[in-house]
Amino acid sequence: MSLIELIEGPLWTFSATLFVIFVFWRLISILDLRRRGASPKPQGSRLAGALRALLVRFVPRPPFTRSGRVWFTTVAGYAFHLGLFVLLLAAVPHVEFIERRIAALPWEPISRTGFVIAAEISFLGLIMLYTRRFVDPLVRRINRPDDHVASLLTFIVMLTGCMALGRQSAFLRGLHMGFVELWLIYFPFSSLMHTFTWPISRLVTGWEAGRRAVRW
Amino acid sequence: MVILPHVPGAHPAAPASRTTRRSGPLLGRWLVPVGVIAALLLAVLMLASVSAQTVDAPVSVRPPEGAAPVAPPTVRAPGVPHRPLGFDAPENTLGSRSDSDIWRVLREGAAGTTAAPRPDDGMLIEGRRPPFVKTPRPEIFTRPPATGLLSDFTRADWWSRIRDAETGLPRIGGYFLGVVLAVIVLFAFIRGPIPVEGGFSGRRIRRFRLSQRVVHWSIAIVFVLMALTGLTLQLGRPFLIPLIGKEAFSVIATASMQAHNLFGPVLIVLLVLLFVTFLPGNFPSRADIVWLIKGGGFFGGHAPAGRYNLGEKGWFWTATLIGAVLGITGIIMLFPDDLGTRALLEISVFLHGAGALIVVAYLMGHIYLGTYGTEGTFEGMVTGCVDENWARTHHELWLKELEERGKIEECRE
Amino acid sequence: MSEQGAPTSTVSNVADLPEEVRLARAIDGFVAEFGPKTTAWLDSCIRCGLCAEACHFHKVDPDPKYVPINKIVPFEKAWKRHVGPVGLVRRMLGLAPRVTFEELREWEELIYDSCTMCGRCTLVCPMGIDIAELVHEARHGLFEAGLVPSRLKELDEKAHRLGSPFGTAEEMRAQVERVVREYGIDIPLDRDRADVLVTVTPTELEEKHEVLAAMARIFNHLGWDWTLRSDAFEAHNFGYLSGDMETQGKLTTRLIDTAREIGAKMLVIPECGHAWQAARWETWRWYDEPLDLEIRHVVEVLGMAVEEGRLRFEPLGKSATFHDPCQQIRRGGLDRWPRVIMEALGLEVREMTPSHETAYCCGGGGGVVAILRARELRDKVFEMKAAQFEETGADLFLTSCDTCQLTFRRGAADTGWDRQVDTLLQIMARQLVSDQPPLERQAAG
Repeated sequence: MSLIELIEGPLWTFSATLFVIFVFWRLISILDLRRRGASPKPQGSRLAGALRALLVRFVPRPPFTRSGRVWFTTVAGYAFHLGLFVLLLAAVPHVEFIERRIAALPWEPISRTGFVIAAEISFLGLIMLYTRRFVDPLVRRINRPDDHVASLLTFIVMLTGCMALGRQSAFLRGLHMGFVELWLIYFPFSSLMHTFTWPISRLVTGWEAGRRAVRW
Repeated sequence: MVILPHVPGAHPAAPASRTTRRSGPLLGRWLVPVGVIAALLLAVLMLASVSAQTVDAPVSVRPPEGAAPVAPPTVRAPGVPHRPLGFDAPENTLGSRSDSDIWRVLREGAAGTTAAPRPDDGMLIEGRRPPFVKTPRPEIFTRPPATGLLSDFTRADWWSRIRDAETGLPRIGGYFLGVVLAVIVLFAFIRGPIPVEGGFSGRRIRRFRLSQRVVHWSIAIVFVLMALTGLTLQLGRPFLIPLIGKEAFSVIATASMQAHNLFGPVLIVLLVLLFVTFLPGNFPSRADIVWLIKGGGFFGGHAPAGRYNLGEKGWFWTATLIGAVLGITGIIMLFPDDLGTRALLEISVFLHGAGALIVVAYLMGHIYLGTYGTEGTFEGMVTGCVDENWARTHHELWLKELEERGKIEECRE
Repeated sequence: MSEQGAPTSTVSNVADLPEEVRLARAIDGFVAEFGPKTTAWLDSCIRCGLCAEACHFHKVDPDPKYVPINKIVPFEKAWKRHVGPVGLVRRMLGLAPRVTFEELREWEELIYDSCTMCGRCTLVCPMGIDIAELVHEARHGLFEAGLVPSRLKELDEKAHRLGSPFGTAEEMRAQVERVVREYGIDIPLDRDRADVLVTVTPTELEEKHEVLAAMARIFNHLGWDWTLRSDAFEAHNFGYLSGDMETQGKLTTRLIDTAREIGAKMLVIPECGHAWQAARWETWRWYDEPLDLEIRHVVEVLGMAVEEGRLRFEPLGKSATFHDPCQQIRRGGLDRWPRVIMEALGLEVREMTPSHETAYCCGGGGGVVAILRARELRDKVFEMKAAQFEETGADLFLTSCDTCQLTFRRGAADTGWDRQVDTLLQIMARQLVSDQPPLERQAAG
């Protein structure tokens, strides 16, 4: 079995399985809804509070809108994530791969121009956010090794993906796949888990805010 | 399942009984088995489905099963039967015909049309004088081909001569950068790191804002990436192929080209941000002349400068102006069919290659001076703060101006 | 239900234990707090650093160590290492470093001195992480390791021993009797049955006697069947502040159990922020069944009485601004009532910027006011708050929290600021219109 066959066959299966198992495992441990003591009597609607927190936190709230850091992080963050989602779910090779290996997708892949624009927006956001991890003294202070590894790994996955864009070389495709697999294995044990946990975190906090009838 | 640390010897004063209620381990008795079983079940299902699909799915690019068959090629001679895929077509060729099929078709005289309708499309690559040569030279097609390093670029085949791996820009550019590198290394050996006069004072003052640092390092990442991929493309033929062979180079080259094309527009956006964030302080001033006369302090002595010295100003304007040229020509080259005429493309390729060499040369000098070359400079761009004595050594006038206006912002960390 | 007969805390001798034992106790304390919420929050943090934008301590001192999420780093580390099976895998992959005792020692300052658990960072976090709650959880571990600022620890021990940092039941009764004599007012003390159990703060017993008298007069005026109990009068909860869960439980359950014993339907919490937090929102830690007891804040019940038209005040005709105590407003849901009361007092309300749920903390909450070495940092926050107050141009600077008031007083003394900070009840006491003669200190017998 050649290396490329290994990467695209058993290794892919292995890493994807690991990813699914541990992501589920972690989500189950969060969604453990057993009661812990009697909740204090609510003062407002918990559900409304939860929904509010879920939606309102998509944009910065006043008075924090006066902070440049808030806007920078928000705009760069959206650029990176939205671009990434387009790349991940609508790039031609990805759509082909997903349809061949996992399930049919209800949408058409985007054009090359669309892909390039999405990739550029995404890279711009990622590079500027990643740079800030080094040059902003306060972010540098709170960064964990995990944050650097997660950012760098994501960057490398995207970079190798773009390098394989010509679809001329099995080596480049294998390189990309290899890093994707590494990324998948790393994912559940790292802050990449925020992909799945952010709505839960917001809902949990919003639920408590709703109970207290405060606008968090 | 919460795992408590094991401490050798029981805790002598472990909390005996708390009024606190433990919130309990994360996964309760029933959750562990259910979670494990669910996850394993999922894993098995996935394994089964995935392996079922991977067994018969070849690794190469191929339409998904059940998809419509690929349309037969348009160039097809009568009587030649359409053959199903029964051979290893090169990757990335989606057609279902082999090379020999295609050549057979051509030999049998199939008519082809070109999709490009413009008048000079029929012209070969050669045959057009460079735009800066006014009078046609009569001996164009009679002179023997250039054999030296510097061929005659005023000839009609100037473009392909410039692109020539042996005699054109690729080789000249490589030597040029080699010489620049050698000069830098020589300077590093002779002069060593330029020290801060009077040593570090310990008092650190703000030099770069956060936005400037973010833009600087973002552009640094993209710039280096662009330089590496661009040099691979431009200098690869004379310098890389002899080292690693054509096979490996083709892989690196396609990767480089894709990355270069993709990151180009990112660099353009960042260059605009660079221009905006670094413009203040980068206008020429009288102090620049003094600085230049004193050799910039590179060869000893003290050369006073404002916020930026002449060398830095030069770098700023080089990056901006040549950056603009590289950006514009790059975009033309990205969309050759929509934006370029043949002449424009030829000039673009030339300007892009030549301009890049200048910026990369300057970049090497910048990197050297920003890291090993001068003490205390690198941290200035990382933390945004420089030592007061560093500022006095390299940007005395800037420091004085700050002092006079009471605008010194001290860094505390 | 609490085990009130549990042996008194091992607090005092923890510092003498070997470090590895103290570390183990800390981890134990952390682990006790881990739950689905902790996981949802800690899993979501990507270190964007925006919480720094909200923190008053970071605002007055840009040292990066004051970034809110940085304050819980050891807690987070322990969580990574010890949380269930994924923690096990993390350890195997080497992704989960150990917490060291040195780290805990270093973080003591961050987790106690420079966090008031005001929860402003919770508002700005794009992931919705409640850092204030995480700090509260993390304090549990640090307390178990004996890494508590000395003054906070003293107060906590006193509260544990006597049930109140103020003093014993006898001292309390003596003080109440003095108020009764001074103001000639009827205060029902230690009744066996009553509809309402009222609690007080130490300051009210020590010096703000007019507040105690006014409360008594108002409750009497409203016709309540109420009482103060010398065995359950203390609303302050230093267990909550220090992370001493045992004491927190002891104090909370004592209030609630006493209220239930005397058949009270309502427990009234005085002008204090964290007391409200502990009594109103933290009871789930100790009670499995929903409480058949209403827990109300004094500002809330008085605001309601005002709205019902049952309280009248001599209009002041001045302007005032209100400092929103974090635990009452942002984290307590009492936003409405102080404004209702101020309006009834005939005050023109001039809001500070920012105000309401986004208001800055006074800088002394969460026990910080009791930490001596935090003084410099606290005073810087005070200067910022004082400037915000001056900006409104209001005549009166009001709040409704004893701790905030104390913090402002200390800040004013330290920085030479000559303005007075009053609580709502102090103003209400002065302006109350009643059929009885105005509240004035009578010649004490």
